[in-house]
Amino acid sequence: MALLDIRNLDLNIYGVPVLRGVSLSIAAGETLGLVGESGSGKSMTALATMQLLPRGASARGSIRLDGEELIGRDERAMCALRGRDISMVFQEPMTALNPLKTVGAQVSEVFRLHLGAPRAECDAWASQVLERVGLPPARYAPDRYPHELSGGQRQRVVIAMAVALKPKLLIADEPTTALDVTTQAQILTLMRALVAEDGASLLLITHDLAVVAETADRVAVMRRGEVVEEGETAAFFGGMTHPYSRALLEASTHVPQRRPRVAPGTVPGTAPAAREGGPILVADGVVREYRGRRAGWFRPAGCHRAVDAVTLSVAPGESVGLVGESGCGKSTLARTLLALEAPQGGRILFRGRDVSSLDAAGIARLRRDVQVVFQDPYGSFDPRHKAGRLVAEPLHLLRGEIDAAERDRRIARVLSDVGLRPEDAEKYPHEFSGGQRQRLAIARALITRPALIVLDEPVSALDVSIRAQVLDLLAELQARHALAYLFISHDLAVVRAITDRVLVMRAGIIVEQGPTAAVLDAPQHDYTRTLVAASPDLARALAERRTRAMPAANGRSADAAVPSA
Amino acid sequence: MTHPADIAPRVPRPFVARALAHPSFLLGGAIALVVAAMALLSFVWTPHEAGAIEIARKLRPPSTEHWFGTDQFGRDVLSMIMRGAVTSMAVSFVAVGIGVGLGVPLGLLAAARRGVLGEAVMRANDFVFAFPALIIAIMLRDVFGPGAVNAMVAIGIFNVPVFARLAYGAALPLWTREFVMAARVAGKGGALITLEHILPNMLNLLIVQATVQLSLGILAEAALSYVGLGVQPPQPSWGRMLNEAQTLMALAPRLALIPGTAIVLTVLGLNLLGDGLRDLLDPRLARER
Amino acid sequence: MLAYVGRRLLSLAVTLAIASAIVFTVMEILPGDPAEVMLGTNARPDTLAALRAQYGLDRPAPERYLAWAGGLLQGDMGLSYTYSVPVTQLVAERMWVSLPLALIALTLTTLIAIPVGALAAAKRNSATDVGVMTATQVGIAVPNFWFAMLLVLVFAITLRWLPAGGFPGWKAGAWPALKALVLPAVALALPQASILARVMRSSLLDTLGEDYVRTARAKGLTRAQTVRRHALRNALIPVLTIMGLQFSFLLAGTIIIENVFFLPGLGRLVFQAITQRDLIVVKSVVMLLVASVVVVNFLVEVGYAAVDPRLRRRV
Repeated sequence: MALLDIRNLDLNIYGVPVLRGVSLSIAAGETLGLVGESGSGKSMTALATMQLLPRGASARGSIRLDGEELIGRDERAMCALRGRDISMVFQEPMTALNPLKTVGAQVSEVFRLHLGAPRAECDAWASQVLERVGLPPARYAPDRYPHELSGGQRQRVVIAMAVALKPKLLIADEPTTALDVTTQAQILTLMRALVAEDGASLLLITHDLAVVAETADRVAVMRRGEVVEEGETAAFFGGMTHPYSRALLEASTHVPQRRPRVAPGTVPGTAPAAREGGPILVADGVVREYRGRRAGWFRPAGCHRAVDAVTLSVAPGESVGLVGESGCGKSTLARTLLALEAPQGGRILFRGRDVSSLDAAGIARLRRDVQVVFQDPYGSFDPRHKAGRLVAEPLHLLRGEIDAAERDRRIARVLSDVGLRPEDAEKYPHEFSGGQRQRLAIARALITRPALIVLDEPVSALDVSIRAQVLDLLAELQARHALAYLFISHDLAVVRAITDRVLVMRAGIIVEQGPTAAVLDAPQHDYTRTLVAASPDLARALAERRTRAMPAANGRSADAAVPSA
Repeated sequence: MTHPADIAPRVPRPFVARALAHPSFLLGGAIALVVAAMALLSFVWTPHEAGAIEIARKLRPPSTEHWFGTDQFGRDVLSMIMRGAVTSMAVSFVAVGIGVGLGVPLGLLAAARRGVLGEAVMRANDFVFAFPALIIAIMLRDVFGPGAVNAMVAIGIFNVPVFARLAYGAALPLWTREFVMAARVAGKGGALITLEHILPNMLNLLIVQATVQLSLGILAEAALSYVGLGVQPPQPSWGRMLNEAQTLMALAPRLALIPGTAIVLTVLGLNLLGDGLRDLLDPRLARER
Repeated sequence: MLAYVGRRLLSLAVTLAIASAIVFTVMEILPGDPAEVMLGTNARPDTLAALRAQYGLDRPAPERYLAWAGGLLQGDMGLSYTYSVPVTQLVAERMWVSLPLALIALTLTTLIAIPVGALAAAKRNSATDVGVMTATQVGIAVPNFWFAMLLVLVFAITLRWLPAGGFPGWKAGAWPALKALVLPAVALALPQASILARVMRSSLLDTLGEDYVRTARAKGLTRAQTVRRHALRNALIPVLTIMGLQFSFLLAGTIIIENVFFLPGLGRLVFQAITQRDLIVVKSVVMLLVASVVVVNFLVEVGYAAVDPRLRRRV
């Protein structure tokens, strides 16, 4: 009998259908990977199982845990169940803990609540659990407050609370999405180990197929509130039947068609940048420091060197990747290169001239030639302006040079360049989808006909299928306009797909650089190696799964392949 | 991660349609309109000459000739209320004007410049908070002499840090937004970005706060006039009417009830209007209710 | 934590120094000569000069400021022009009315606002909630001095339960003195409590939407337990801030309310001093009021740090 059995679950929130006929089951000790893009209903399925639905939600159908119906169950009985039999780990570790209580107390609370034991005893148990999740009390005192811990450590605390009473079912809703890749790998390893030790079942919700391939026994794919396909992991990746699953897989492993790099000066009639030769932008030993401010709750005061003696250059038509984890200084470096912030040390050269010596006209020239696309497709537009005005904003740099007719022509041209229609100029940003907005951002960067575009995590906020389309667009535009890219990302797969050369950055320092394929296939620096090993990689995960399954013989796979009734 | 806008692009109903369906906006707006109309009307017509003393008809109860009766000097209460509305509105409008006119530019400047200048501006503002309007009025009494100007300046000075803080607090996160970065990459300077992106995006917030400060200004004007630091006779004021009514509480409580109700209704109306505007102008601003 | 309090204390001292300079300067540029007021406009010039010398009015402004500020530090506010007694003594007497009044009002405000606000938030959209929101909306709109007059009309004039004004002094016994303060305190507290209750309600609602509240529910806490153990303390942080800001309104309110009830407090003192042009009294009382606002906000900030571990390490 399945441990968790969801049948024909329908869910409406204020009358809007969110889930339609969802059926899933998880056997004891099994891990089910629940995959889907944003808004597919994954999280709502989890919250329905916890019976922690938002206001205005009404569920019909059946959710059984160990044969007992959860829907409509008395709230007090549900409270006794939560944290003891089913528990949950959420996506955002930074906000998941009460900022005013020590982590020890928050873990201890689970014991006090469910076992009613004396405080001292519960505290001792809490220390044991914290040790189990890799926070030994000797090194990480349980009387610390959440703000004194990093994101990964906080997620460990949340996991400690979830596994404290060895629940039968653990639900993890995108538990590593907010974390860096190296931390993500550690957290996933930890969760796999805990679940295996306790013999618990795991419902792992994620948008990342590679994570599922590494972790799950079975996979279910959700789309628009429905489960479209489900199966044992190896079989699922071997032969997907539903077109959406296939599209998802294609998009996850998508590599855009790129033409070979244009050598400077060899292509006639392209952008002036390509003809001038010499690097467009050079950073020469750039240092950027921040004085200790009270901006962060957990950042110690004092001087923080965000960018430390970084040297790099971008030549016309070239695509350079800059890889690193959050907080490594890559966005600060980008702002410094864009001359939005002045470096405290070193120089930035724009076409051979020191940026600090440029006059207003020189800066304007720099801004025309070096444009930018940001990560967040929702934050990069002033919500009060129409698309046409937003896209045309950089034409401020060409004021006096072009007239209104030329302005309109350029708006129409860049909009069609990025796959939008010229009529879209009359729309407001909120009328576009996330992917369309990112196209709009690219159009804005193109309108001054720059030689270099700095792309700061341009696809990180997008779902995989849209990410693939935007990457295709970037590759096509680069070929057509002989653009140079400085592509900043934490995602190795994306960098591999779109760059010629890559720089790996850690704590403000470039630790390794070289041709993209060479660096990622045969990393020399320890950190690059860790990064490559930690990055979820679908092909590698599937290969490992096959080798793992081999010696285990048929006994184990039979265990895993519980009929998906 | 989940952006509901991805599933269904948000299509807001037109402002007017939502406004007409918003009870507190409608009620508050109606009250504010009535008070404003009453004040405007008093410039051309009042039932009797406002403030004209005629001891012979003192303390008359309400009648068809004197709807709200007369006070101990025989003045027509309704006429005084109408002219009092002018005082209330004028003082608190000018005070909000002073607050917006000085506070918003200061806050915007502090946010645009950050650094030492920003810090200095905001510290100075924190500082003014230590001086309640009443204390400013006491200190400035002899500079301007007791009267409407003194009340306007005192309440206005108190409003400056309110608007400076609001503008600063709203501008700071806007400055880190990517669309402002994009504007900087488009070669626009601090002043232009402030005008094009920062100020328009906080306009709603300012409008809502202005209604709140307007209602606080009316309360403050009444209090100052009540203790004799505000409007002086013969100019009618609700606050002073209350002061004059105090000794007659047992005899003619109506003289205290009528101006007090006028104050309560006006302030209530403005507050409801402010709440309504908050909901209507920006649904994200509205606290869950 | 100690270092934090130390830094705050330093900035408190700087703030007070600047405040005293502003108060002194503003009062200094005021027109009007206290000596003339005391002796009348047709006093002889040499009498005027002698009086100015007696009160130190003939010395240059910076010197007088230093003398005044130095005196303040030692608890010496100088001599009142009209009463010819030390201002410190005048203020101390009056303080025994104003301070208890403000404290009772503050206590009442808190005791009413926090439970009412929390109840409204916990029962969001219920009849209770709607009732609380309507009542507080009206409460905010009521001027406290008018409310005081209504209270007098009902409880003193009509029902005759409590005195309509005046203060018997603490020597007459605690009960009669407290009785005299009940109506003023209620008049001060209710409008303030309306504001604070609304702040409490929205703050608790915000907190209940936080991720850690969901985490707590996932642990198996009931709704009520979650509110008690996790949400309330977090929700109180913004409430504390507003309470600090409200203190200056409360103080201003006290001065006005004292006039309604003829209470011999600081408010009466300052208004009498204004009409009598007793500038030294006005200056000292204004400084005292400003200082108490500054000190209360300092206490709020320290309290803030005591509640919130995140602030203890901030600069």
